[in-house]
Amino acid sequence: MDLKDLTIKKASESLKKKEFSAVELVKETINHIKKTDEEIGAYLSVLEDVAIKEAGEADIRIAKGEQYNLTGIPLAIKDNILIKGEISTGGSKILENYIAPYDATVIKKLRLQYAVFVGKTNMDEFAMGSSTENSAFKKTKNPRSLDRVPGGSSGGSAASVAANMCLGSLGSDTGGSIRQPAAFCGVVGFKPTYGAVSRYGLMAMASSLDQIGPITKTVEDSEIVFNAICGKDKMDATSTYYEKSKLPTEKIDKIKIGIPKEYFGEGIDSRLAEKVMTAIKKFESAGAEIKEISLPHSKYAIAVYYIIMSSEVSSNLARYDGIKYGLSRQEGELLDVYANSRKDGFGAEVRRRILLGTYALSAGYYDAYYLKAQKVRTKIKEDFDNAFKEVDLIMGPVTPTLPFKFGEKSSNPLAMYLEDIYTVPVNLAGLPAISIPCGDIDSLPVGLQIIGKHFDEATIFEAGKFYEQSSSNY
Amino acid sequence: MISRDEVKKIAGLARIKIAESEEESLQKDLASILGYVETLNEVDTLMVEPTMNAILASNVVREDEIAERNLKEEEGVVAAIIMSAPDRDNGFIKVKAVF
Repeated sequence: MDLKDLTIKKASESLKKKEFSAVELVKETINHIKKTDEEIGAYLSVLEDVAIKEAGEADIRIAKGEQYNLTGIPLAIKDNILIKGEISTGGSKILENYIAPYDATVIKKLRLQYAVFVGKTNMDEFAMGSSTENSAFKKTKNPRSLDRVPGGSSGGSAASVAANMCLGSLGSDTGGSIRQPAAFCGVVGFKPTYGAVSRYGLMAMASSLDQIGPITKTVEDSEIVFNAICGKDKMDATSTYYEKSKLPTEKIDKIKIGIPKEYFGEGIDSRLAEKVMTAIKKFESAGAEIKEISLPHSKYAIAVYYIIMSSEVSSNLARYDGIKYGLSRQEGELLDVYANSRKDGFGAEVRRRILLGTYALSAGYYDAYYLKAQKVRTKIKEDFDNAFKEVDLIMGPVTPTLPFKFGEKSSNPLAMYLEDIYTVPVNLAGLPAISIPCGDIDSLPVGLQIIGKHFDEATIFEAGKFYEQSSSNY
Repeated sequence: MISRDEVKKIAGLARIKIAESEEESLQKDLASILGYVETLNEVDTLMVEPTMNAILASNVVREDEIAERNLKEEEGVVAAIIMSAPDRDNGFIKVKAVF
């Protein structure tokens, strides 16, 4: 078997035809990890023994004729998603030795299909960052260009798929953390509608924005994983009932696609813009209608995001206090335990965002910052609601730049802020969106972003599969 | 904008100890971000409702019914949780005196 040629779909078919066993597939994957990951650094832990055992159980099920889409399939899991009995660090020193006491709901659901978890992947600390450089443990290299970042915060998850060290992975996306690393690594990354996937067992970053989603080689694989993990969960009050049998809104030749003019303006690398437009034109050739739309409040999205996200972060990370779990500095009195555990346990970016959020929520500033940001958030959501009255999908770039080099600080401050500009509005509005590879520039991958209406994942997958089939990449 | 004293005050609220050497750079970072978010004042939000959650319109409740419990499973989880605590005593998480 050649891991390079395998997708979840292909591997599942091969397992069914007994071309190889799940144990063979998983052992081959782990051998490849051992050869490859010293260079790439995608994994924080490899669960070899457990994975081979899980693969054995998968083989027993397959032999009995009980095979699901993900039975025996090796998956990598971002280290902020809990697997019972295994260490989950969240990319942070404060949880370096934390052993999860329960499975996240998405893990429970994948276990029902006898999927195999080969390891936990590297990430920016508590999902804060766009390059995985903020991990407290190691850096992850972009398999497509080893001197460049894989993106973040799900950099390890994206790199592991891109380097064939698993057939699919789970990441989390609060402001682009699945879509951007997928774009940077040349793989497919999908963020579901807010509430479609349970957040129970995902270390909370910003509770009104977080979603777990799949990173895979193909759109078909993405849909397989999404269908396995979505659904209402009583342990997550923000999760919603999801109708899996929903058909796409329209067939591709009847679809209306909106292109936000604000997404092709200042700050985007013109070659990227051109690449993305060429990709969108493929839909036009198939009969889809392309029209320019406006999302007038786009320029405020970063400011809104930073205030809301930091505020929610400051609240969610209060639990890391050296008392219940994690790194603990026991000297002095109770206040010292809190202050020193958090000082030593958190990295610089995490501390910065907690302080920003604390300030925005503090007495005297709450109205001016947090409340104001939530009101502008309403305007941003309204922009999308209005656009979706005219179109079925919105398409555009994922990032304004190509994958950058380690330590590179953009000399243009505007371009640096704009790094997140195309991804954060989607989280603010709770919409589903996918990043699909649409070609290379100087051998570096470029991502096409497809944004859909709430709970219209079906149309996004339909469009994504159409694009894959019609382009020479596949 | 944000003063060094305010940075110290926020650090106190956030229960994070900040070294004196860090105060200045944090002040600069926060001031620069806060300066950027001032752009939000350009937006007229007079009659606009805040969006706390893009999907949920109202609170989520369940029926006030006694649920079935799996005591053995619960015991296992409780034991694992207590084991995670840095300081524990006889099945309890141990904390320094509050007062």
